This record gives sequence, structure tokens and C-alpha cells, in this order.
Amino acid sequence: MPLIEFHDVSYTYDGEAFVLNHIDLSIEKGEFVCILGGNGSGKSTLAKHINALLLPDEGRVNVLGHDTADQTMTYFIRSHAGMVFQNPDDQLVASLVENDVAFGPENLSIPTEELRSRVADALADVGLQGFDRRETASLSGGQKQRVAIAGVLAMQPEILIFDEATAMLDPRGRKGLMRVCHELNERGMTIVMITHFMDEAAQADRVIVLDGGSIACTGTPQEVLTQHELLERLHLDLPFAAELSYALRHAGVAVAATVEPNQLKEELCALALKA
Amino acid sequence: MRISFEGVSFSYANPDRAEKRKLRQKKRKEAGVIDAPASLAEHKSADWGSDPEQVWALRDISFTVEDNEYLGIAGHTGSGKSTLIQHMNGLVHPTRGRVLLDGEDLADKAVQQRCRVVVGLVFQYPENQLFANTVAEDVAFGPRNLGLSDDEVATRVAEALASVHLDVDEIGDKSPFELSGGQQRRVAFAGVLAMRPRVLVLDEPVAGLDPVAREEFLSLISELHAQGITIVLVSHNMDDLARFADRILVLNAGELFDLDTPARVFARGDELRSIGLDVPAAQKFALELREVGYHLPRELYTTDTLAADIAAQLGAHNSPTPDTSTPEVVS
Repeated sequence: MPLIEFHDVSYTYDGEAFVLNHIDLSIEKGEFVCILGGNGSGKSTLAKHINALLLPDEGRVNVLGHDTADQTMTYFIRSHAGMVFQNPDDQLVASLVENDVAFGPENLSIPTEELRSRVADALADVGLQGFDRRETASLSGGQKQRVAIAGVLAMQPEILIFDEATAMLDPRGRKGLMRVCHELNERGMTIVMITHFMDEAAQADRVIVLDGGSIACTGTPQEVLTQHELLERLHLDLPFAAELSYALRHAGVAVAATVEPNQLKEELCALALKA
Repeated sequence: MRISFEGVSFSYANPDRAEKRKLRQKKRKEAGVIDAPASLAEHKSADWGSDPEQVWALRDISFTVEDNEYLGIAGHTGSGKSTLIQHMNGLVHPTRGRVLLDGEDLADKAVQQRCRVVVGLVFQYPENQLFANTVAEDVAFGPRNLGLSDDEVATRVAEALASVHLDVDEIGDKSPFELSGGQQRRVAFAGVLAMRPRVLVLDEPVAGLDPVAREEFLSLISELHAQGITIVLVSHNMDDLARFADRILVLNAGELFDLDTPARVFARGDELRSIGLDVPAAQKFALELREVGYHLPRELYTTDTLAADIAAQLGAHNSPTPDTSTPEVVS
């Protein structure tokens, strides 16, 4: 059974305009899914349905086998589907790193010994060993986002949802965060990532493109992110390699449409040898 | 309008202030006031970047923003970019050195007052600072504080909204919170423009916008630049800096790492990577292709110029190859 299932989900904030329109979607355990779309396409609204921050006006959302509308399961769902938001300064609650990471599990009344090991494990998972006694205010944006992830990990979730979590980071911070995501994914964590950065989307297993609250297309990055006209119409960029291979084909160079810079480079090397 | 930095250093743990604090504490003690335990009162040093011992947010920075220049500023998180731009309109003052506005020292209160008007600072996520009941009132806040007449304020509000492509008749009476995120950001931007600044300093103005909204906002900035306004753009996006900036100032750990044209700055690819920055994607790819023997003579590449030069070198004739995945109409 899929971990996350949307059945004909519609949602409106004001009772008039539907922000989500009849969404059908399923995400399997261990998948790394990227959700793309222009501002106002419904990406964040969709993500907030996964951990019952929002409930569908029509249709049904099942997470880990439970209907999110079932209020007795709300807490269970939220503790198993953790969310990391855009602004690192909005989501840290304590002044010391270890207290911040411990905040969630502490509320589950977990014994001190286990709490300690969970905090240590979570910090190790995001590459912040030894940061437990640091003040959160003294960290960089990328480090703060990793503390926020550690706080979610300490709850031992099955799903991690990122709502434009890299938007405010510098290139190094973004790379670090993506690396952490891939490591967690390799160990079986299901990852749902909302982003505007196409080069991040190119690293996912599957991308889902939203337009006006409906799913415009879905597929592997290679299938979806090389479609120049479609993405342009949906107000999205192409990843660099797709953009360059598109421009090259137009200039008469026979290369395949790809989202992988290395693949494009290999093709160009081969062509240079022939020429 | 030129802004010059002369040997500017800045520390949040200002030694002068620490000295004054000690003096104050001594006086209080003499007067018999019982202070909090010394351990609590002790001032912690500012922590920047990754080195907790490092207390200087800026170290010995000297440069000049020229009149009508488009200056880009790059640097990793914590490199001192925000501190630097806050010096540009006197929000913070150098611990050492000085900042001059057209030759006049910003330490002077009168110069500072003038500076707040002519140098407009647009912070990250400026829409978070919207506060008024209507869009028009929000934009009018600055000009009203200048003591302008109601008519003049109304003219400026309409003008500022028009320059961000919003219509005062259409949205002037709406609550700013009814607008979309992109529109909110433009309203906040209009609030700064209503002061008729000569210099605009923008901190990550397009973060969080989708590609179309980004392009709109960036071309808006270019329009203002074409009208003679000096632009200082702080960005993590090297592609944007390469496209728009006349010069790029690179900060690393509070020090001026480089200040040069985009082409010369991005020629230092490996060094930039070592300080946590990147080069534009097309430039990076061009450097890699050069290593495998491609002759790519341009100093700075965009996706289009790179495709053109590769095609020229491979002797491709200009007939698009059939493309099954994305059918293309050839006119």
C-alpha cells in the first residue's frame, strides 16, 4: 500500500477559488519526490495536506494507512510526517541546539536516556555532531535548517516534507541540505520536496508539476524536465543541462535531451573526437 | 551619488562600547546599585561564520559604489553582506574607518538624515514588513514622514506603484494582505521607491519567487537602473549577478575577497568554490569543456553563447535536429 494517497482531493481557502482541484496522487515508501509549480499553483497547500495541517474539502487523504480527517490520528500522522519550512528563523524554538532537537520527543514523555540518544543520532544524521551545546542564534542559515531537520528526525518519522527549505540558503548551505536528504533517502526515508530550483528537482526519483491546483504532468526528471514548451508555459525554468542540450539541438548539434550535466559532457567529448 | 567605504571594520562586540559599559558598571557600583552577577552581565562575543573566536563582522573594507553603477554583492551566509549594506545608509556605523556619501562622512547626523532618504534599503522578504490597512497607506508611510503635503504624498504613491507595475486606482484601497506574495513584495518595494531614492540597495530581492516572477522583478530593477538609479544587489544567484552586474564585490569572512567585472571574478572558479560560492552554471560547464580540449575563447559564458560556440566548433550547420520529445515548429 502506498505511504501517501490522495483520492480526488479539492481544497479552497475562501470557499470560492479552488487551490487544489481533484488531485489523485500516490507516493510509495522510500520515494524521493519533488513537487514543482509556479507561485500560487498549490504546492504548499498540497504539502500541508500530507501531515493534516490542512484537511481536504472534498476527497480523502490517506497517510500511513490512516485518513487525515480522523482527528484521533492527527497526532500520530504529524509525528510520522515531519515538515521543514522555508525560513530557518521561524522554526527553531530553543536557544541551545540540543534543547531544540529534543523539543518534539520531550513532549512524547520519552525517558531521558533514550531522549539523549535520539538527539545525538539526529544531529549525527544531519552532520552536526558536537553542535549540541551551541546557541542556535550563532548558526548559519544552512546549519539552522539542518537543526530543524534534526528536530523532525528525533521524532523518528517515516516521511520528511520540505516546503522550499533551501530558498533562503547560500549555495553551500543548499548543497549540504541536499546531501543530507539523499543520505536519509538512501536509508529508506520517504522525501517530499517542494522547490523552485530545477537542479535540485533533477536529483529526485520523480517530479510532479502542479498548475492551477491540478497535476500538469508527472514522471522522472529526465521525462518531465526536458520538455521545454511545457515548462515555459507553466512558468518554470529548465535545469541547466536540459537548457543547454535544447539550445545545442537548435544550433544543429546532435545531442540527446538530458538533465544530467555529466551525460551531456560525455556526449560533447565524443562529438569533439569525431570532429 | 557615490558611496565610499574607507578602511571600514565592524564588530558587534565594539571595544568602545565594552569600555563604556565597564565605566557605567563602575559608576553604578559606586552609587551602591547591586548589579546582576558578573557572569550574566558579561558580554558574549559575536559569532560569525564557523569560527567562534572571530568577532569582526567586517575587516578593513575599502571600495566605492560609483554613480549609476549596478554593483553585485556575493558571499556565503555570515560573510558580512548584511552588515556591509547596513553601513550604506547609516543603519550601523563602522567600528573603525568611515563611510562617505558624495564625500561627506555618514558619522555626521545631518548627512545621515539625508542618506536615509537618498539611499533606499530593501531587506530580504520585505513583504513581512507591510503593516498598514491599505496598500496606499503603506506606500505613503515614508513620504508622509518627510512632512510632504497630502497632494505630494498622493502623487508619489501613485508614481511609486506605477513604477512597480501596480495601479493605485485598482489596488490602492485593498489590504496588502489580500494580495499575492509577488504583489506584496512589489508593494513593499514601492514603499521604498516613494522616497525617490538615488541608490537602491536590495538584499536577495527575488528569493522565493517563481521563475516568471523573478524575471519580472529583475527587469523592474533594470528599468530603474536605466533611469539613472544606482543599484546594489545582494544575491546568492551567480547567474543573476553575471547577467546584470557591472562589477561584483565578493565578501569572505568579513574581508573583501574580490571586486571586479563578472568575467574576471568568475574566472576564479576554484577559489570561489573554496569560499562556499559557485560560478554560473554555463561558465562552470565551459571551464570543464575547455579542459577536455574545446576552444572556448569568451571570458564569460551564458547558455546561449556557449551553445553557439560549441556548435560553431563542431561545424554544425544551422538546421535543427528533429526532436521527438519536444516537437518544434521551425519557421
